[in-house]
Amino acid sequence: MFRTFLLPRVLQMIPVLLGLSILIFFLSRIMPGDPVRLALGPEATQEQITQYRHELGLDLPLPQQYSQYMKGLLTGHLGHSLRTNRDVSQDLADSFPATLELVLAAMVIAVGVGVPLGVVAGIRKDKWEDQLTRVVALGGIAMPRFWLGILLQLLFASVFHLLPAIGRGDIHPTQITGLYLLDSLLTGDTPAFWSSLKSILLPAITLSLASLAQIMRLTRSNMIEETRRDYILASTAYGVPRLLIVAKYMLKNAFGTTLTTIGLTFGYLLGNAFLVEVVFAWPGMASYGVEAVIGKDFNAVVGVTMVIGVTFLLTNLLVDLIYGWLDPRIKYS
Amino acid sequence: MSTASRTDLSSVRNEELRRGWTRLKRSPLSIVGLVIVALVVLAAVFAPVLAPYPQDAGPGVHFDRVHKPPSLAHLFGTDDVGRDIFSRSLFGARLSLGLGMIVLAIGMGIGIPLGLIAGYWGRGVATLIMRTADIFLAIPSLVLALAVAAAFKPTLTTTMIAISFSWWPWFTRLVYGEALRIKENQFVESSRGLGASSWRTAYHEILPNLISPIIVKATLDMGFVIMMDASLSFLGLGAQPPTPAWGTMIAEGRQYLPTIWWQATMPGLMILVTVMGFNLLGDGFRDLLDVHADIGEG
Repeated sequence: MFRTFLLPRVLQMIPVLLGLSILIFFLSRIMPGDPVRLALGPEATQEQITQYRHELGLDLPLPQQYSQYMKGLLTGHLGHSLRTNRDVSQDLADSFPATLELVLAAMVIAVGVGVPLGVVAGIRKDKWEDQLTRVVALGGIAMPRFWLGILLQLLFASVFHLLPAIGRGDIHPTQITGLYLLDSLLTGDTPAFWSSLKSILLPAITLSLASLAQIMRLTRSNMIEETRRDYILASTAYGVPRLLIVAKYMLKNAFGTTLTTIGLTFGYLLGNAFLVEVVFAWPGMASYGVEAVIGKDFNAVVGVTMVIGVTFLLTNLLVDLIYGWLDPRIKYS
Repeated sequence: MSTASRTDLSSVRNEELRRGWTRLKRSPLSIVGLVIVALVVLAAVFAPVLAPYPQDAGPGVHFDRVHKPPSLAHLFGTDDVGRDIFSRSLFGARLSLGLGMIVLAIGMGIGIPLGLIAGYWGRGVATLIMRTADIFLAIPSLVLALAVAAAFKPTLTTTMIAISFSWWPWFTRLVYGEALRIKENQFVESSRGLGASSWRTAYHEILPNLISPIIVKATLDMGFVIMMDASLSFLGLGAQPPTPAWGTMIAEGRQYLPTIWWQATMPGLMILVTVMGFNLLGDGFRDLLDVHADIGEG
């Protein structure tokens, strides 16, 4: 399996990532309004600007800058950030776990709520349960993420004072993985766990809603398709209880198809994290990325984009592997 | 082609359309979508006439009516300098629809020919085109659009370029897949056998069969493009104040939360309704035109 499936897939990723790095690198280097001038402020003399540009290697021809960047990449350096004055790799290492935690939490909600609701809608087709989920799905997909975030903040933070409107909680656990929920569980730190849970709830729900709606609709149509299969008719004729048929056979088959979309969902959540993190002042890689884009911090823009590209491609690879493992009929060729 | 067979073909097409219309009529949600889209288009076209305070689209200041809550005089309330938010939202529809149409025109103008070339000619060209499309699809559209937006000054044109940049590969992929499928049909082979050139075959035999999936995708995408435009302008990378772009208006209103709740929330209603309208209409078209193609996430 490694030689026929995994290796070619990994090799295929290399030209894509290389192409992406070239695309983003050159885009980031044509930024107008000289980022260096912006970083040094209006007081800087022309000499200081020239000097700093030289230090950053910005006076070299573009292809040479790119090859230097790639050399740095091999040693784990992503270039100097104009805003934080650190290497971008350090900034990303600090902010990536927060984004990962948010995206994973949203994924858990999207699958954990979307699949059961989809099953209910599927077996109660055209009944009120089905109609209700249809309305939720319509709204969930068409609602702008940042707007939903603002509404939830108004409702749960300003009106009912139930949950914090912004941030990642007041009590932080000892850092192990950087995922606060996991870390507080590992260290048995109950106050930190509650604080982290309360603060992640609103952003995670905001982020998950559209994906939840999509997963719900997909599970529904898969369940309806399964209902029409011969084996269901046969099992029913044999007198197998309905609940057993749904839970044991239909769900397993319907879930397989849903799983294939999880890779796409992950990418979708990563993209929309850029909006949700800004609304909830979530200290993750996405809000770092938005600041980098606004502040013309060119190395940070390239770094964030590349990390997202790699994460997205790896997730899709992982999903393909799990899918093959769940469904042995799929041949890796 | 003789006149007789052409009449036959058009009567078949009319019959199909009639059946499709019956299907569409039976689905109330598609009608809702159609009505919403019609209303938004009307609002966009006639914004200067329909808006109760058309002069508020610009940078005007009215200190006598700052931050008035929604009422009959001001349906969506007024903003921090006293402008009528409902009037501004109507003008926002103009910007959103205009931008959506331009982005889709650019996306289709680049994406469809490339997909057709890759799908019909295949081989090396296909590899080159599809691998390039893969690069653009390797990161979520919003992130790519952000990276592109970073390279330019934040304006409406920047958003337009940024979204178009990340949109064409979706059309390329759709057309590529469909062209591969259609290519295997006998009528394509006959056309080739009769001595038609590759271009002629691609244009006259393959492209017409692609129109339905493209219409469905374009309608659904209109909603998603409007959403992405709003997202980019919300992040401060699109049209700048005082332009009445929906995303920009929400971003401006955020600083007055939670007391002045209407300034940031009301323009969002317009996005929600518009995007929902295009989604419903797109789904309706899918039934009407009987499209089974994989439209993609958009």
